[in-house]
Amino acid sequence: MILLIVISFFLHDFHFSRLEMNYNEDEKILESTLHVFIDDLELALGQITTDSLFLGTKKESNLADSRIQEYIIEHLHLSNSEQGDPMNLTWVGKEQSDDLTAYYIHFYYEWDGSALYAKDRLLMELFDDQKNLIYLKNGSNEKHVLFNHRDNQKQLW
Amino acid sequence: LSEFLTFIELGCDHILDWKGYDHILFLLTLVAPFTFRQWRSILILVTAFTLGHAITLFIIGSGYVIVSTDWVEIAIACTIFISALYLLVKREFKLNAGIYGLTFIFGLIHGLGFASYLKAIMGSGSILTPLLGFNFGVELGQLIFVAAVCLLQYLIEYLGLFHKGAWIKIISAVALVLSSQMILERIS
Repeated sequence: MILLIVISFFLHDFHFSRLEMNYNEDEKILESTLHVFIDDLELALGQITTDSLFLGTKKESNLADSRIQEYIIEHLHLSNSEQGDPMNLTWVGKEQSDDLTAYYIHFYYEWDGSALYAKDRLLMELFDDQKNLIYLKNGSNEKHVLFNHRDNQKQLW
Repeated sequence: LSEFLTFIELGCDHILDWKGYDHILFLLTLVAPFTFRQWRSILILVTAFTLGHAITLFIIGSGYVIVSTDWVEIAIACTIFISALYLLVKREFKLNAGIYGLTFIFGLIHGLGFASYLKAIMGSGSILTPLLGFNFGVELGQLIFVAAVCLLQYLIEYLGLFHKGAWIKIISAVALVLSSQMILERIS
């Protein structure tokens, strides 16, 4: 690898999140990783809770994970029909990085490759220019679907 | 095709986003000295710039290069400052190999500026579609902006709103002020 210069903290002037989903056929799980800017998430949680969460710091509150989970459940829905009930998601863990923080979640669902729908409103209450990208992989097939303020409910598959 | 369009949309929106105005400010300084009738000069300069940032975009997208966002952002602001200064002090604008070369190098630097965004949008899947689509979107956004500026300059000339020289000085002064501010903000 050519290394130009490695330093820097990361400033972003754009509002973006990425959800990567991979269907594990053996376990019947849609294994998902949500990549989101932690400062944006803190702002969003600040609007719905009075708790100081200090996300991503040494002082991070014990309530942080449950608040994040509640926020994701509220703003990210996955279903097998357009008006269907949102699938339950299970919190698996998180991984801090210097830019987008990764939150690991599982959707337990026996998927036969039929239609899947998503409603992704993550952080859209904060930013008009928020864009959320969902990447879904099923075997060798993959798909990218973009969600924004005007269009936050789409067929994924 | 919908995959490709998704990344075209991301690239086009990113270049035309007012918060990322440094790229379009540089394009403005590039296009400002020319009239609508000198479209060949505009085309050649914009192509040199495009070629430059397309190369670095692909290198970054392939993951072989890691760049410092801080230094790149400062360098981008410097490219705008230099172009604006050139516009301010020059009386005649003649294109030569030196100008093309410098524009190409500035393009390489601006391409590095997309690193953080590319890093965010590219996940663990295949890189070809995202990279090609994003690059194509950036070019499309640039084309839209350059066409709009050309049209504006044509109208200004046609309606006699500004003398061409005055228009160039206004653009250079605005670009100088904004790029100086960017440099100071990004250094501190």
